[in-house]
Amino acid sequence: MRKCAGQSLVEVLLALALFVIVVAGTSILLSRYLETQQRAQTLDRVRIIAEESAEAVTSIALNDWTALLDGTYGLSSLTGHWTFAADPNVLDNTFTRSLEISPVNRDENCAIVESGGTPDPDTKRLDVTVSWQQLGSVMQQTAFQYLTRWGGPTNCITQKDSASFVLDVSGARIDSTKKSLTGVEMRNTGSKPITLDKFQLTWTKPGNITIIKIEGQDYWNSNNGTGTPQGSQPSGTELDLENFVMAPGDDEEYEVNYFRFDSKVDGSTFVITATLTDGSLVTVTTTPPFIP
Amino acid sequence: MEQRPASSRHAGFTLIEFMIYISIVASVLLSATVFSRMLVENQVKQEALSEVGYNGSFAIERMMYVGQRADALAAQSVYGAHPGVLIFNTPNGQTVIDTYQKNITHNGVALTIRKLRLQEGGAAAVDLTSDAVDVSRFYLSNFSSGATFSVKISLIIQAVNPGGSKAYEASQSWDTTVTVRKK
Repeated sequence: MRKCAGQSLVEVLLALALFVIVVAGTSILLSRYLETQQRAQTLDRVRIIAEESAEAVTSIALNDWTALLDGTYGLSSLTGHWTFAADPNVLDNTFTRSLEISPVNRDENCAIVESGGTPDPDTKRLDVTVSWQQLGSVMQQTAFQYLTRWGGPTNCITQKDSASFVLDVSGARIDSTKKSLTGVEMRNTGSKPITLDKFQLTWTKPGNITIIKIEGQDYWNSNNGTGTPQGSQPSGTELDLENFVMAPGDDEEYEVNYFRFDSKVDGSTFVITATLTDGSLVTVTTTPPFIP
Repeated sequence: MEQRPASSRHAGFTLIEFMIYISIVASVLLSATVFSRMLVENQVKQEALSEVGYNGSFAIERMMYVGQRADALAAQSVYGAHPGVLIFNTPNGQTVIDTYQKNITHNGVALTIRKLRLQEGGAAAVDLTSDAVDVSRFYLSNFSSGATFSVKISLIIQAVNPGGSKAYEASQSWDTTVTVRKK
């Protein structure tokens, strides 16, 4: 019986120990859970801060791109709009926000590269770093985004002239002489002037090209010194015209009065490549009908 | 006779055992009760906080989405006062983000809450916040400069808590800036 009584005390102690273990385990689990919840809320706040910072810098960039000088900043709204401040900001007495503007390099294909390439004046990298104290240690989150001067790019992200140049051969025809391709029209659908530099024609009939006349004036003539090379030229020769400038506007059409040849070209298929002064190309193919 | 003392000692021991048992059971029950109560309260609190958090984040995201795609901030917007009115000029007419008051019954208590809503073009207004939260601050500051439209939005949302219960108490604030991309 005494043995039995002693054993039940051991049992009680054992039960107590087990209970303590269970309680301790659950408490740790619970505190982890609370910690995670708190961390999620903190990170959400950090996200909002980073988002606002990016928006603020975007507003600075849109207003004055040249304000984006490389360096580390804070933000200020004392003037009634966002401007850069010299020192990082402390928000909610908890979060320290600092912004870093750094150059972005692009390679020869205009792709952003981490190393090599040349700095692009139209693109900047913004890093927003938010740091705060949590349980005695410093936590930090960094988000970055690229800022781009879409409003007036000066470097390689500029749209090529070819994107707004239309070489319209829908009305092309061979005229009554059978030696002229006529009815080709050009349009500039962009917002700035485009300059036509060169034409290259290939055709499937024998003979040479002699004159290109645009809007009533010769821009390449094989024998009066207008454009190069001189002398009538065979199919496939690149013909450097006197520069022809086209003002922007959808309704403004520039007519190529004729491409003149020294023999009959009716029934031929033409491939016309226009080279613009920025080096971009537009190529069209046509088999014009004979309409006297 | 030899058995008696043993038997009486045994009886005494069981009393101590019984007291230990009672005290252990009592403390177990007590701590279990406190623990579960804490758990439930925390759960309730987290629910209230999540409700507030989701409502606020959704409203902020929505305002940023609309603002970034707009053409301009409209002159009719109301700045510098609560409740503000945020109006963007968009290609499809005006998008208006403002607040309105609504009478609701929460757990049998009648009360009035303020809700955020968004009205696009000629379409009917849609609520940006639920009936479980109250918009206690919707304050706008015009941060436009030059030709760039930018607005700072300050938003505070609280969980609806007519009884003033600590467990249901939840409030969160957001400060953000929306910049119109078009210039």
